[in-house]
Amino acid sequence: MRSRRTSSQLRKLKSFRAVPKELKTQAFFNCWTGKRPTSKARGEGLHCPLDQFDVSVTPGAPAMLLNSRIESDEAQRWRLEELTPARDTRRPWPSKTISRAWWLWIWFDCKRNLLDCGDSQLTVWRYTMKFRSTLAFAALVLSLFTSADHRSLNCKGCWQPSTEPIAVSEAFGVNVHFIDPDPAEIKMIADAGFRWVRTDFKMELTEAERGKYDFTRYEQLVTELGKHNLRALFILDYGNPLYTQGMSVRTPEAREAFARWAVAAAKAFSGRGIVWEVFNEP
Amino acid sequence: MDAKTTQGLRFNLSHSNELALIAISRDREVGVDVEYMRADFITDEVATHFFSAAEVEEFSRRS
Repeated sequence: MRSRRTSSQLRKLKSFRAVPKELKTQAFFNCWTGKRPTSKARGEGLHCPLDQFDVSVTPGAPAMLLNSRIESDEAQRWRLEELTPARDTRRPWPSKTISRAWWLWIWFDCKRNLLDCGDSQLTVWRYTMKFRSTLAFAALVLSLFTSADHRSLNCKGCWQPSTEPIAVSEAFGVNVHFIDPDPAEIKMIADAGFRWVRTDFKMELTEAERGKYDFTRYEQLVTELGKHNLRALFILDYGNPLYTQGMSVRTPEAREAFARWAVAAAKAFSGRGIVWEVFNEP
Repeated sequence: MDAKTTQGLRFNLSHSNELALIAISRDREVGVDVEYMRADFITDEVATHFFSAAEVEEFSRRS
């Protein structure tokens, strides 16, 4: 299905295609990360008409809400702040790798210097070289001691929660991306002090045939959660190839099917203490 | 937390790739967004759909 475009959209498309690729990426994200928080702060999410206000997009220019055609004084009321995360801070190097690299470096350095360690070398360096074996050995021992496996992801038991539950409010929960529960994971969530689990409740997984609903997998999840006094916040979401052809729910037929399915889900879990959310980040 | 503590409290969160961002404020609305900049994510159609005419104009002038 082709959507009809207005002439203004076509004009925009044409001029945007002319922008160089690198700039385009920067442009898009500057724009998007200006528009998204504005629409979220307005409490409207993606329902907010994003093309009805302008943000600064030029790389290097301060982030600003320039104009709004939604409410005239909005540009004065909101303040946009740009935060740039530091590079390479996302994942610390595993200390084992660092210590091994350190040890290898010393070893190679010793080998290299052993070959061309002539009279012209500094005395202090020759003196150091006398102890190269001791140094290499000391480095090896140190690297083994500081390999700090307990910090790596492979360490069994390191990520177990403490036995003391953290005192958090009854309202705190965690978002997950699974349906079929691993009992150990559910226990971890409960032990961490969370009382809620939020996850997608997908239409396409529960209505394989029109009007036939099968919530078995979610039933099992709720049962497993219940064993640990955890409650579920389910997000009724996305679409179903039976009605939406890979798109979101946007036709009257799909909307009605979505509503029927949502009602069936709410009835199926009636009395189980579920909190329902309609769509993710609507 | 009692009602007095939570009064006027607002929060907003966003996550992308390995970064997460949360903003908490009192007595004012707040919104945040963090995005992992993937170059292959952008299509002209998506961008033009979200951009306003003035924003597209600004970019086109720069190129």
